[in-house]
Amino acid sequence: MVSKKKTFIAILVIIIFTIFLHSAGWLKPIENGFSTLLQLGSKPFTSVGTFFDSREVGKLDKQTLVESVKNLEQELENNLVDKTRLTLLEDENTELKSQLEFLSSGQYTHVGAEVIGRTVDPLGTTIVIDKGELHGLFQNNPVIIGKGILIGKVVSTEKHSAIVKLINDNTSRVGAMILNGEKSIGLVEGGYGLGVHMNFIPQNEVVSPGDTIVTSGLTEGMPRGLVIGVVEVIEKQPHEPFQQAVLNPTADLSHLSVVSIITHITRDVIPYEEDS
Amino acid sequence: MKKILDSILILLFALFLTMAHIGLFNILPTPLNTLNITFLVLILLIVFNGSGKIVWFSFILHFFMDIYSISPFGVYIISGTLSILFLYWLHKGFFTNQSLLSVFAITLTGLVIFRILYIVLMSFVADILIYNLFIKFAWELLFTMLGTIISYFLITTFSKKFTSSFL
Repeated sequence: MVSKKKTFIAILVIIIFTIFLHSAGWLKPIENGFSTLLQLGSKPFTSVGTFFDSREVGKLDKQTLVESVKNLEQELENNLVDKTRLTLLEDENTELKSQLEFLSSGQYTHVGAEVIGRTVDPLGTTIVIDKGELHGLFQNNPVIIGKGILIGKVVSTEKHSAIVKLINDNTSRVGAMILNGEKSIGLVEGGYGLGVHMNFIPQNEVVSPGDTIVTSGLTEGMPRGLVIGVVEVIEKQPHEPFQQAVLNPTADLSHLSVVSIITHITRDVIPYEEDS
Repeated sequence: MKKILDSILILLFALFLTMAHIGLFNILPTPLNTLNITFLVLILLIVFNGSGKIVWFSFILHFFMDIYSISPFGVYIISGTLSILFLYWLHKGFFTNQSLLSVFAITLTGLVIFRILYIVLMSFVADILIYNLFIKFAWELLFTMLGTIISYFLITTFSKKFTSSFL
């Protein structure tokens, strides 16, 4: 019994000592070393995992109907982004008729990265990517796929890898705007990887299912106009000051392989009005 | 010399297991991705190896997991290492054999202790929706137990050293 007590205390002391060393930053070189090794070693495992994943899809590919649905989904995704840009550009055109210069698309400095793993945390929905501090990544850099579809932001960086918190993570918060008549703004929040919703939409503003939601540019480091998803359901209670919208994210957050990280924003997808 | 070699092997095995956990098992289709491969291996090591080194192995393994976790550093080391230490004692003092029932009981007890410690530690730093977590943990428990039982039968079938028994 005494020996067990001693063992328990010894292990507890070592754990606390390790946590102390980590907090003081003295374990950083060791962590970086192991992190690089883990990153290099995880790639072959991810390839195996993706192989199984693609085999699953491959089975469906044999059916012509499923193939058509996939193509149509891809087309719909492309059209949604195009439609968003078109709507925004039309608005800009009407309001700033005299302006010769307006932008049709954003200009960013970005870094491409491969997904090398997923979360180890049941509370979070994160991915691990193979680019880190050495590639110019910083905390809060937005992470996108396709033609500017937001999937999350960088939460922590190592030398050669980084952790990206997805938009459906429980602690994810992104300032967003609905492309409705009022251009309602609110906060897009995740819910344990099970769904995404937009909160703090003023009660008096009209939101309809199918409305597109983009980033508002009010979150630090996040450009305006990145597509997040479309409104699926509106939850409105007469006694509450705000309404809530349940979103259908445009990106398939469970099948990510290659992503882009915006490291520097030179211009937003949707520029702000100059006089506002 | 043997001790150094043993330590290097433990470190390499922990690295390998973390890579497999992050890179392979977490990206498998749901609900297969709920299988806790690290815990499965640790339990099999406790039952079939029984050495005290497993606790240190668990410490290193959960240190690596903490590097790749967004929860505060230490949550995995504390919950993982302490639950494996408890399981090690439980196997030494209570479930002293290598029967299917003891593997079953150790997996169940171990995962429950691990997740209780995890929830308690996380509740200090985050708002936890217990219901959603319970669903995730129930899947994890189911698949890890299935995985452990299948591995148990594979080991006892193909090994001359270990034989399968229920009690």
